[in-house]
Amino acid sequence: MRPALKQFEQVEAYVRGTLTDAEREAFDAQLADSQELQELVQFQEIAIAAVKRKALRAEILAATQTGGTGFSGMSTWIIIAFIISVVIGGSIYWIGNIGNTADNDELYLHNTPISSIDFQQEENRNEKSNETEGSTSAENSSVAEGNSVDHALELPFTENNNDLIPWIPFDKQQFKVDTEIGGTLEGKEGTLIIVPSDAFTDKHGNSISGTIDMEVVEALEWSDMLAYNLTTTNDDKALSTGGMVYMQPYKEGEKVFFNENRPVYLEIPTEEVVPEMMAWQGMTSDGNINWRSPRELVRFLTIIDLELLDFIPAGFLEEVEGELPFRGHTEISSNLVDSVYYSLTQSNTSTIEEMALQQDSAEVMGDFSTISSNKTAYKWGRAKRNKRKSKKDQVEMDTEDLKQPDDCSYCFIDPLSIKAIRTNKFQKTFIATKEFETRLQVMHQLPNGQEVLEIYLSHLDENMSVSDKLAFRLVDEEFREIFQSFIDQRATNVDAKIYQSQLSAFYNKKRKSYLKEVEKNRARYQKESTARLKELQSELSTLTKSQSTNVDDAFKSLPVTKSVGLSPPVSSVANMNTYATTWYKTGWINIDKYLHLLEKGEPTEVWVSTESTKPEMRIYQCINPLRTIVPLELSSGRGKALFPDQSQSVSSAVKQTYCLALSQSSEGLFYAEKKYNPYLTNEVALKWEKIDQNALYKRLSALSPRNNASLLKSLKEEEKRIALALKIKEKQQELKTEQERLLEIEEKENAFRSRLLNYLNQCSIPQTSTNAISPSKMRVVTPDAESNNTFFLRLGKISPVGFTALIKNANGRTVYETSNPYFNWNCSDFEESPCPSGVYTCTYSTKGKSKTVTFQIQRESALQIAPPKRQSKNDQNRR
Amino acid sequence: MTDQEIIASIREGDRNKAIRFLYKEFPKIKALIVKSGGNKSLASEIFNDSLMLFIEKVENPAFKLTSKATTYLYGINRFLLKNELRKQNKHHDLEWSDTLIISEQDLEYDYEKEEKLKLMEHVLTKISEKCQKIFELFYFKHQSMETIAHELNFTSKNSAKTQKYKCLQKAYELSMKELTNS
Repeated sequence: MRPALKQFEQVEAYVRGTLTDAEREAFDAQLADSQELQELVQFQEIAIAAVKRKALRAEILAATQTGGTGFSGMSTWIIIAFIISVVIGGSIYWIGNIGNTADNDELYLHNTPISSIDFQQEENRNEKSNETEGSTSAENSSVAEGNSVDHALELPFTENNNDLIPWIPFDKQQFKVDTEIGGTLEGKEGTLIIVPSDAFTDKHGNSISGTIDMEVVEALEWSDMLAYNLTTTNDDKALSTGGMVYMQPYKEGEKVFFNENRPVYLEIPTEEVVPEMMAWQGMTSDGNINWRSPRELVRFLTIIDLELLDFIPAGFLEEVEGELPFRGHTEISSNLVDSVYYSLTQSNTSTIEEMALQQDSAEVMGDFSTISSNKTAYKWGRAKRNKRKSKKDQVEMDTEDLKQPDDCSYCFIDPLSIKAIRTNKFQKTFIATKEFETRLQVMHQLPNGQEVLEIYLSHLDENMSVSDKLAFRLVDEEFREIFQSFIDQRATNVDAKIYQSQLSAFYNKKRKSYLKEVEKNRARYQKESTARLKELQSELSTLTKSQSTNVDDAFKSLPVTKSVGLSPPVSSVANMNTYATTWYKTGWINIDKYLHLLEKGEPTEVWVSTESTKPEMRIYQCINPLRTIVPLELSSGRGKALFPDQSQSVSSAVKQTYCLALSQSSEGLFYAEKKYNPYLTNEVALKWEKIDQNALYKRLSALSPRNNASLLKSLKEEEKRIALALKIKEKQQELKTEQERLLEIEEKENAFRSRLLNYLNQCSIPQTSTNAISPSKMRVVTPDAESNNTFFLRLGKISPVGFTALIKNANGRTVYETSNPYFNWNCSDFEESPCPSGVYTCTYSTKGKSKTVTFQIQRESALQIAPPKRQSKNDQNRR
Repeated sequence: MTDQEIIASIREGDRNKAIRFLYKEFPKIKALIVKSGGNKSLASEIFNDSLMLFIEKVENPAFKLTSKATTYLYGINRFLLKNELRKQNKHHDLEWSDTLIISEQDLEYDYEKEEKLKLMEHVLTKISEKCQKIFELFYFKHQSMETIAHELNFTSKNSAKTQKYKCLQKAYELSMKELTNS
């Protein structure tokens, strides 16, 4: 379907008339038969015409916006009639409005602008710039000094007859200016005068140096103007004014003049923009002042130091502050805010690289705006608009989810983009202007802010108004007014050579490298925080390993006499305290013998127990014929010992026997012993006594010298084992604590980040990241313009009797309720107003059973549940 | 500048001079437009459009000016304003002095074509900068492919050519998309 390149070439030749006659005839023939070809021809004709038009328009625009030369002179009075809008921080326009006379036309004809002045476009000052109050500012290097001096306001000066006679004496303010460095003077009423260096000359036009005394009188209020007898007329026609300022420089008492090549900026705060303003010169005569020769302005933009501009979304700093302490920071600082902000980036190297690749390989084909709408990096509510129109408009019973926002994330400008543009390379572009700062703050509120930002970034070599216009087309209705006001500003550009492609390449490079940094930091932090955890884990595994070897060792030391082919009883680590054998089962060969003895006749049973159970306790019974002791199998602290039938001869050996109990644990070492005659007793109760190792040794020696050595040895092993087990327990506990601590921190950080992300987020789509609370897919309802829902809910077998369904919004407020299980909900609440986009729950219940389903309403328009600190407008659905 | 000078300079390619001269009429035209039911931004738009149409007309060697240049220009402005007002369903007596009353046929103003051009201009903003530049240099400034290749750092004239056609392709696709959307 796609026409081939060759075809374009052919058609181009045809349209431009560069085919030979024969070729043209042939082509005409082809054309007659092919609709597609006809379309192509039409397309190219129009395209070429459009290209020409576009270029022509640009020329017209350029030609009508350049400034001319000002002229120097000496006048002092300048009427600045202008008003500034503070709404979005518009720029200062400084012209006098030709007032409300009926003969506007004539006035215009009279005063055709001879040449326009390049005026400074300075924003309403804010606390961030470093102006001084009051009289001096010689030492203060002003905000804009040295940067954009070339675009300053040139004061139109005329001959000065300083014989204006005021009704009350002038309130003259004195300032000192050092010609070497210039200065920023701030008048009492808020006038800002920025004087560049080398701004004064003598009457011959030669630069002078030294300290200049600047005399300034402000007349911004009507009262002042009346008092000073400053009328606002131009040849008998009334002007409406915004203020007047008088400036006269002196050197050592002598009047000097303003240097026409180093103009001075003037800035006066006002309330409302009237773009028709012009600058007029004042001429005084006979004690009165008359204004004439108005000039229109051209608005150049002033470069401001990037450090002084605030590119971070409004209110973000306060959000961070509210979340402190964080990672040890208890106080807010701009570095902290910046680094937190940058770390919230949601892009990753693959997306950025992908974008860069796209740009490189498709450098001519792909433009910035398509790259930036790369859906894996950022999603905009707009881009994911569901245009599907469902025929049904009800919540039906059906399991199919329809629209699911696929791995959607947040929509906001990538913080790393912001970081990338706050670099030196962009210092000389219109990025570094108050005007851009204003626009950027608006962009932060757009769901497709990134896209809009990159429009500006790809048109740095053109007037800002070009980008304003392009942006206008991309924004939602609610923002159009703002962007229209931007367009109205007809903002131009800074006066610097802009190399767009270099800047674009630089921008991408920077983002990549910042991202790498962010990722490195994340990895490092991850490593550090889990380092302790890893330590503990390795310690634990060493311990457990040694534990198992200990077990083997412990068994190896048991008295196994002539154990041919019989392995010691196997016991799991957990069963260590019954490490004995069962009386009958496995066995050492000697016990076998004994067992035979038992089989003769009726063996005698004796129950041995201790008065109280102790941890890790064992009861041993001495088997006299074998001259050994064996542990008994215990159940509930009791063990059964068997002895041969009394009639057996061996029973005499057994008449004097003993049993003992041992317990070694964190409680200590306990011992109990009892000598008894099994034929006289069948219940033995042992009493514990606390003992130490040496005493134990003695006791055991006393009982039977032959056994104690191995018993002690095994006791020692036992001790070691217990100690080890204890250590392991401790370590496990430590590990657990550490894990919990890390988890807590992680949760805190995640909460911190997600709160901030939510603050920045401009789309109503919730994040489904790995940290998401509900990893399940959330269903989406998309009531589009026709209020058609696309959410089908299967309720399964439910009884319609006693059915209720409640739909609540994210704040828990019930927005809808019904008892009809086949209900259709039009996503409006009780008052019939449409429920805004967001997360909702539907709880339905019948006969005591209830179930809750979470879903999400996603509207095309910007209806949103307003998060606390933001303004949001409830909007109508779009056409 | 006399009328002849204006026409001559446009036809020779020195449009800037003519533009600047004609721009002096802007304040008055703006006032007229605002008085007749428009607003300031509309006035700028219309005036710029009128300059553009004026230049396009003059560039046609067959064109003959039958009135004063400024009168003609005012006429174009009035015509455009009338269109705009009609679109907005507003009506106004457009009694402008020193203004030629121009009709659609006089101006050879093809509404459909204008719409198409507007759309196409919009499409052109959507293609990449480099593409736009190529087009501008080739179709507007009539530079040769060699010059363009050199200026835009292409490796050869042919690669520039290929790129141009690729750009056309992209523009074509976009315009087709726009057509189906609108």
